Amino acid sequence: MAEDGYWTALARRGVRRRGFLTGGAAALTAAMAAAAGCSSGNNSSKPAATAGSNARVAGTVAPAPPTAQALATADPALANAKRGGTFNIDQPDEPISLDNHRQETPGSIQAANLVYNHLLKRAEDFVAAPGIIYVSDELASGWEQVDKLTYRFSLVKNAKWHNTAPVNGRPFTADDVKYSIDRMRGSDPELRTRSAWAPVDKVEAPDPNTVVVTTKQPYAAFIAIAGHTWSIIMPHELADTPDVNRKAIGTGPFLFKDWQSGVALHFDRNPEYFRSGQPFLDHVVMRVVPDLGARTANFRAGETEIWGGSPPTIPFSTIDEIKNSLPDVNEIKRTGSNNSGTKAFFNTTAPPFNDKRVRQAFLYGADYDSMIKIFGGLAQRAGPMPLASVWGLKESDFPKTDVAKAKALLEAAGFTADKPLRVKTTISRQYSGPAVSQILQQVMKPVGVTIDIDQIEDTAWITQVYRGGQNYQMTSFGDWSWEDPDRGLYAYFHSDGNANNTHYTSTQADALLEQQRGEFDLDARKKIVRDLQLLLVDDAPNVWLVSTGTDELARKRFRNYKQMQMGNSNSYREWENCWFDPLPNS
Amino acid sequence: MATAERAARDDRLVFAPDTPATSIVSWPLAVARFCRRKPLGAFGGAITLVLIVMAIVHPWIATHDPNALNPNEVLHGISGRHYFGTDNYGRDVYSRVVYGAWASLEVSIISVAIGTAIGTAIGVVSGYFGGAVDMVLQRVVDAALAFPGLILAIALVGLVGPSVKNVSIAIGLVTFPSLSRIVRGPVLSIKEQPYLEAARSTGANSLRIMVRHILPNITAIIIVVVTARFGTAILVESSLSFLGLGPPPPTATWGSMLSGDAIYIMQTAWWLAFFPGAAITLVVLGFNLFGDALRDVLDPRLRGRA
Amino acid sequence: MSTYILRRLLASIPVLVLVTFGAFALIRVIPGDLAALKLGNDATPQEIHDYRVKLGLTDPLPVQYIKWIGHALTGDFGQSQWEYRPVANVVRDKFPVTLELALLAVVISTVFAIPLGILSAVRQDSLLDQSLRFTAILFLAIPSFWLAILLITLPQIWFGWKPPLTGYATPWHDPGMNFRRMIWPALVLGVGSAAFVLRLMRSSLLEILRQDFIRTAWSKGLRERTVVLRHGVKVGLIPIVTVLGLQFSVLLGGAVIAEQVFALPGMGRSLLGAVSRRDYPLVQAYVLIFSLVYLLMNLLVDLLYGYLDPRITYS
Repeated sequence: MAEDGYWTALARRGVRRRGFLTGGAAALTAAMAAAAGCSSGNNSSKPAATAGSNARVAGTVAPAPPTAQALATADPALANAKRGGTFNIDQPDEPISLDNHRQETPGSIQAANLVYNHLLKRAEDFVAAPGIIYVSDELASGWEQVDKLTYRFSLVKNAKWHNTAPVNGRPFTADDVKYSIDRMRGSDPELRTRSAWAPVDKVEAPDPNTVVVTTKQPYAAFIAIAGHTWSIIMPHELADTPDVNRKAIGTGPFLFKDWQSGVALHFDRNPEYFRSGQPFLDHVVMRVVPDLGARTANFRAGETEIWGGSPPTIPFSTIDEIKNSLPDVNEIKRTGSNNSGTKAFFNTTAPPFNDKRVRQAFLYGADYDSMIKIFGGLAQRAGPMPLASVWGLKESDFPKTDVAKAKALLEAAGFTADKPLRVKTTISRQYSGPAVSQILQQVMKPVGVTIDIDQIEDTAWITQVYRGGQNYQMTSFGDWSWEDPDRGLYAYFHSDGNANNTHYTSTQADALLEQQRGEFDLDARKKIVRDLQLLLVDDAPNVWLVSTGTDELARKRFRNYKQMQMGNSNSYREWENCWFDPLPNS
Repeated sequence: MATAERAARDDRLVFAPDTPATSIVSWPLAVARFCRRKPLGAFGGAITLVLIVMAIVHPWIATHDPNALNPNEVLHGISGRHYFGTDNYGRDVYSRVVYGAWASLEVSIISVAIGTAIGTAIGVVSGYFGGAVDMVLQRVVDAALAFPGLILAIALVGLVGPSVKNVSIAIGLVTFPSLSRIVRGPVLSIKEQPYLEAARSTGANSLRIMVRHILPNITAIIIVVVTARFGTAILVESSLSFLGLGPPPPTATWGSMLSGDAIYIMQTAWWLAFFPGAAITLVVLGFNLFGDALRDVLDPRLRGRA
Repeated sequence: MSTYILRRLLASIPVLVLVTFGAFALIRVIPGDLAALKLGNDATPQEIHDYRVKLGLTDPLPVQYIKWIGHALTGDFGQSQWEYRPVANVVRDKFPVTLELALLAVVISTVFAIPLGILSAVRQDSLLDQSLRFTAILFLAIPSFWLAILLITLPQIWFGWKPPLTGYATPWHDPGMNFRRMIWPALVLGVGSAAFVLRLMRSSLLEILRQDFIRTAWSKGLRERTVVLRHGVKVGLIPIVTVLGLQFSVLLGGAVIAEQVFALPGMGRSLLGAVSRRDYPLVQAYVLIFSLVYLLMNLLVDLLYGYLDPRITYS
């Protein structure tokens, strides 16, 4: 269904994260998520945006029959799971804060998501529908959309908070959900969750196991929001105190034990996790290792279980070399089809990119095939919504590379062989992916465009370019869309969008964006989103380039690790479903 | 006993002491004598010369466009086509090393020029005028020395963006203080010379005295220090690149080549890490050897200081 | 003597002010609004402005500086903006790591360089001397991060060993682990310093040995060892001591590379991140520490000077 926009969220909030092309391993380690194969005794997991797959008439309460995707069969492999073991993961980015409502860097999310649960979480059915993300249950054991504005969640009955002061193991109730949702839409300016949860009108907890949420207007993205990575459910005893940044007390599979600043975070198994029998791992250690060479050395030495990155930053031959030198690893490849990938974006209010023809010259001129080749066999064409998602366009919807047409467009815009187009791309080392700029430089040469690369400091880039600055012409950015087109497109392309860094305004786009927002019927919404995307591709405030894939190695002993096809979509990895095979002689 | 004799022998200089370098009459003869007496230094000088020449003619001796990405030739080894192999983007390592020579030269020249100019100016003014001027300037130099160079580098890069030029300026600013200290010492003793007193009493203005009388006498020291600084500048630039503060990717500097993510592929693609690292080491070695020999020859009294 | 120390300490104050104010101003001048970074896209301009007021960023620069000094004098260095805890705690965690690293590096440097330097001088122009000199000059030319990367990569390929790259314990908590973690980065750092000190020791000693008072010692018929060690080295150590003091500060700053590659939770790495994220209070505290260390080192070195060279007295 939907691609997650967690990376986008990060970048939008301007928090530090690795450009996924250069910080391949970072993107990768952030990218891992095991499948949500297990059900918690309840089979009615529903896909996210199909909330309206059977168009709901106000008042009908009957839940939609589960589709093939929705039937989350319990992963039979879990029956063989063994208890025990310590899972080490090397992380280049240390968490900033364990409060995901306020900080959502990769490190912060990964650490917090070991300890906290969500109402709903993103899942992927690797068997029936690989690559499609839907939302499955977590603290909500079931949900239904009562009418266009109202949702009712039934909560699991046996969840308990971790037995740490000041929460001390008390039972989890609907009041906790109400508290968390109210917190997320509250007035603290440090929150990253406000605009997503703002359409909520009120939250009620009529009984300890039921939560009813009402939105102000029809908000088709609501369920996706409820399942988003940072929508963690927190206890008020902790969340109201400053300790919430460096301490985590949740209902999740692992207990937060210790945070040794700059070194590692330690987590212990939660013996009273509401999914009984899980987790299987005894300990998780998240170690902070900034240098890729060091992470590689650690993996080779057998200290960590997972390693990899995005070619060509980490070339295939390296991965092969390491794979061949170690007897006990599997290789997991993930193609790039499922994230929105890299894009060039233009400042549409200043020359030369205020002229649509110049932007389109890039759209038609860029040699996508050559770009894909440079990124190795795992890369694919990118679009406003991920191509493999339910919302994605098809490759055939995109114009083919046509250098002649690009040149003609440039000429019409006034750039000829005597007065060629020369632009400056203002990039950041961390966020723009240096390779992208160089590739663009190279592929636009035949079109007659010269691109000068101006790399500025990362934080300066965020402030001056990414956050809607005016003093730039173009830049490039490695981005992920959200799982839902509302989050993925509205903020960026609506004239009032708070992340509209291209300063793009189009009444047509605005109308479509507003329309899709309240459309629950999946097919109808798909059509609107499709029209919107075609418009965006043609207007080209961004030119979507390619999305890279990742190539990972994982120890064979570390079982049930699945890398979600949507890649970065869940940076909380579902370690609760993984276990270690016992060593041969133990 | 033998030690003292050997030490005395070393005192024989190519040039007479206290003779400003500018008064040497026969350069070719001096160079020949230098090569004979200080073979290591000559070797260093030769390497340095090779670098400079390579840097200047880099567009002509490179075999490929250093920034041309070529997916068909990723991580190829040494071959007739690619003398130093290719990197993980298919770029020719040899050409990048050659272009990197130019970048390194640029960085060293600019940073050393800035550092020398500022350092000499402050050192001479401070030493010559003495008193309050000296005290204030020395406090400023103290502050500059106490200021962590890393912060200055990051701040500068943050302010004006990373580029070869800006990195060079940053390095120059970080290195000027110590030169001013080194220069100040001799200035203090030179200014007491009687002939300068005479010059002052006839009304020659300070600037003239500083330039015409003091500067030539400290040229030797400056030359020696500066030669070593070239090597340091290259090392500092490569460290900054490693930390991500160096000139951005299209520019191929040796430091940024070593900081690429792929350099740890030692087993199969050793050439990625070897050639740039060897280039840096060789060039810095050359500068150091040459600088050492120069110092021995121009003024061995500087052994403890430069 | 004590008046001298007092005078030096007083003279340090203007330098400290210069440096800390310089850093204060510099980091606020580079583009990148801390408040906007912390608040994210959903914040309104009014909220961002209010946040800046809350952080005290709207006051004029000198006012902010005075306030900071005022608090610093009471021991309050503010909150780290990105670690969500008091700056003092962050510094308390990270500074000892870098300090230990620099100290270890200096010790390694001294332990190798001084005896080898003496040997090199005494056996001047022998094969030993030539090879030592060449090795030293070679190590001076190798970039330290390259050495670090070679150290963590090559031995693993050749014989399956690598230095430990994760975890950390303080020396009093787990001395064994601490040593195992710190020795390799200290070696990498110390090797460059050792090369420098070796050459200096050699040339300094050579110079001393030429002097008249050494000739006097020879003529008295003393053994070579006595002459060299007792008379020569003691004086020859003077420039070394100066250099080591300076080296310590340099190493303190240069430790960041070792900390990056070896994943040590030190001040260098923390400073890099702090500047990059505009964590003003943390950066200011670090700058203060760096300059304090530098100034104290200088004082220590000058005092040591006085002890080593009988001709020098302080009034």
